[in-house]
Amino acid sequence: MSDNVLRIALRLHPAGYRREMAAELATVFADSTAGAGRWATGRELLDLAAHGLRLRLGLGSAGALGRAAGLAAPFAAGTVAAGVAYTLSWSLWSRDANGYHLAHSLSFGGTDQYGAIVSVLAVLSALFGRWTAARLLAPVSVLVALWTFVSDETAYPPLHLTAYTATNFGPRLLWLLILLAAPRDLLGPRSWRGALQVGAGLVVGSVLFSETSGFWPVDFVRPVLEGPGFALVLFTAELTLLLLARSALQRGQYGPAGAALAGAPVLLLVLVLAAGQLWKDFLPTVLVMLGVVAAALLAARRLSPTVGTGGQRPPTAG
Amino acid sequence: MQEPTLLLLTALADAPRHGYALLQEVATISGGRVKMRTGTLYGALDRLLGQGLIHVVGEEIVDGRARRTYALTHSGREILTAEAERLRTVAAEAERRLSMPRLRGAYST
Repeated sequence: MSDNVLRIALRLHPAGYRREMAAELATVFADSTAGAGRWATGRELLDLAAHGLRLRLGLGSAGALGRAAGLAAPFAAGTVAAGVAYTLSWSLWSRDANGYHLAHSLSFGGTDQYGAIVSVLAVLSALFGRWTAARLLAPVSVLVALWTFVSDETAYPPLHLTAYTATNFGPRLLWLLILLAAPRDLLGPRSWRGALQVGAGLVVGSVLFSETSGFWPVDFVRPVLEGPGFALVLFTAELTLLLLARSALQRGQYGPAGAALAGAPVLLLVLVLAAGQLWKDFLPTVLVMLGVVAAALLAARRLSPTVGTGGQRPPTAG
Repeated sequence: MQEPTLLLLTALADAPRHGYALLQEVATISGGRVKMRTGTLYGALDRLLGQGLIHVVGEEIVDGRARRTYALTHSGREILTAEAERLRTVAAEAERRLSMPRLRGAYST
């Protein structure tokens, strides 16, 4: 199988890079997989294909965007898991006059429960630095959550359901893309720092998804901040990160860009939240939404010349 | 410095090496803990080349197979030296503290 698949994996690389490097990549691949089983060969092929795709998309580890994604990925792994956990737990609960209660029994075997198990495995893989496993499992868990979400909302008309699904899943899909986009060599093996970032993503994601969706099975943990005020706090924090990122990138520092990228899906979350509040708090909501649009335009203008090009930076040996 | 970067620079510290030799050296240096794959290796090499920490010192065809040899640049050697010094300082301090008698209630007032 590997000759044809290897050709496909090599074809995923940009033409110029392929002309220069394909023979060498094929040689190293052949040496690495000599005597290896199908599973090991498959993982090598996947890694090679991912390298080609990243280069084609401008996400190589030599570029600023790839390096920012490498810094943001552990946090994104946590938020993706939090998003899946939130969606799946949401399908288990319903609300009536007496408050929240379990909508159906927890007997084993539902799609949502398999999805929860995959999600737990994905986040555990990330915590232990097993990034290939984490990045294979996370999309599966998100797809299961998406399926569960869509299956539960069949009462909506198709257009409404599409919009509802897009707004609910937009931020978590962005975090999933960040996790998948990060170059493998920048993720490193297991470390306390990486594990803390995954944990931070779990905590922040849980708060964001719960608060912005207004679902709290346990009332006493409901945060004080909600509505446009909460949106404004999120927006201001993200805007600050984006502004810091540009000047830091010019000094060859990638930390603020990584933090800004990790927080970027929050902008979409804020937009969704503000849109939902439009009917009751018109003026503050419009101000927040204008702010979000201005921040997005500013970020696009300021970050695109530096982040998008993967330009040269002073050596920091990430 | 990320561990894969440190391992790659270390693998090149004593001699220039080609791609597959680098994969083997990284596995050896890390005691088998880090097994780099082809795509990951070349992602890292692209980055280190872009940063000017390594350079290509030879391209040859051996038994019909393309082989490029990589070596540390002066800048790469400096950064690796600085990182090794930093690690040595931390390790020495850790050993010094571990060799001291353990204090009871050091944090209590």
